[in-house]
Amino acid sequence: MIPEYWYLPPVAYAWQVTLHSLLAGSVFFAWARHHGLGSGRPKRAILCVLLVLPLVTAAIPGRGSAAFRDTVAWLDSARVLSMPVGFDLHVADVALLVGAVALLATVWQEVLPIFRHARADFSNLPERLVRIVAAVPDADRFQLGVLRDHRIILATSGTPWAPRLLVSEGALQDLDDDELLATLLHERAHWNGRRWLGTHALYAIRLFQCWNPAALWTFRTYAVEVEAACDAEATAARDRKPLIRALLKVYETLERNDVAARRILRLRIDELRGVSGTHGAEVSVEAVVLAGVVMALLLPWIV
Amino acid sequence: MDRLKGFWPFLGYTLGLFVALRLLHVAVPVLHPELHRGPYRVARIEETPPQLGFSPWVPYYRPQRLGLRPSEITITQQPAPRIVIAWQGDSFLRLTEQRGAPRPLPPHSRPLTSRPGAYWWRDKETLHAALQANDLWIAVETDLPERDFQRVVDTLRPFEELR
Repeated sequence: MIPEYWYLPPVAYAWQVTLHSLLAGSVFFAWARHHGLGSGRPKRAILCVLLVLPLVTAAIPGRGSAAFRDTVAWLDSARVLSMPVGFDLHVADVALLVGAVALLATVWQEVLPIFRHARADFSNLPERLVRIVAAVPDADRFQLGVLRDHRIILATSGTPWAPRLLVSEGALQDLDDDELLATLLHERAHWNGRRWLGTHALYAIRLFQCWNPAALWTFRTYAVEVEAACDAEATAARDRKPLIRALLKVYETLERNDVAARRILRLRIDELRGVSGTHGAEVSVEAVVLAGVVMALLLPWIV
Repeated sequence: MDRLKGFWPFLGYTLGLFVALRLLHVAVPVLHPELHRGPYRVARIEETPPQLGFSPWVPYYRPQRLGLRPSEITITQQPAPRIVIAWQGDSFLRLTEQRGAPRPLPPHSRPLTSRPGAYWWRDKETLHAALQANDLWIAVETDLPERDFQRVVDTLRPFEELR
């Protein structure tokens, strides 16, 4: 039997969110692979559905009772959770372990980096940077800052009402003018439309599911998709090579064991070079919405 | 139909997953029958009849000192469905019910005059009663005063009748 605390409302909800995430994620992943789905709105829509939908379906009341589990539910996960895996442990114990690891990964990957940013200097701007930024559309909208960091870093901060573009000393030193402009255009793209709002809303939703490994993977993938979308916007009707060169320079400065960051850069570079092997037009956004509705109708029968 | 471009394989994958999940749901109790044996806890008495195959009996008379709701409802499925319903306040009351033949009674048990077929006895501070109700064998344990104990046993009824 699974421990009794598993039936406490917060624990039961946390498990239901994870379960629904994993199941919906499996189907959406297989679907995306089937179509070789590349970067684009349909893929971002799928990732949004995956982050939000399980929070809703897991909250539908009346599904935790023993009568529902035994006679109505399509799958009672308590049956699976109570299966032994050896050493007097059960699937439930493994699930708890995975949740704990996901929680640690969330703190390490999503929370701690917020506090690791170098301080920015907004007063003494190099003339070269000011000249290059002048070529960026709406340049006067942004406050420019220089990060006291020898690595190649370009970032955004602030809010849509007071946006900032940050460039590290390492980037000023290692990137030529074209590369710097391409990367600045990329950073500027982060502020376009509702991108900032959408990303931050999903970040909050993802933090709320800090124990959920599926949410961790989904948000990381969404973040890559946002970067790819900004790359595409920055290079629209422009030469892509300066941005590719800049990304390669960042790639070369990364430690070999920084596998996640290197993989993300490789994906972005492949997408820019058009050799990612995926294509984005096989699934419409309407199809993704309908798929979300189907999942919303089916997942509540899984407890 | 072009607006739903690419949708149909999604239905195929969903169907495949849900068939697999159903097989899992059915297979686990077959492969590991001991997992569903219990005991496991249930939140409300209303949930128990479908699992037990009978409606548990509960007393219409429950003194306030037992508390408002049962503190614990536990079901064991094998070898035969059995339920234990316990109230725990300033005093306690525990009912154990299952289908089957009467259990042997202690030699010092005596018939309960107010309820034919029921027997009771005292074991230090705890009062016990045992009775056959239809095809159920019900055991009562409590530390309530004797008068309350008797009224509890007298007012035992199927839960469905008391709702």
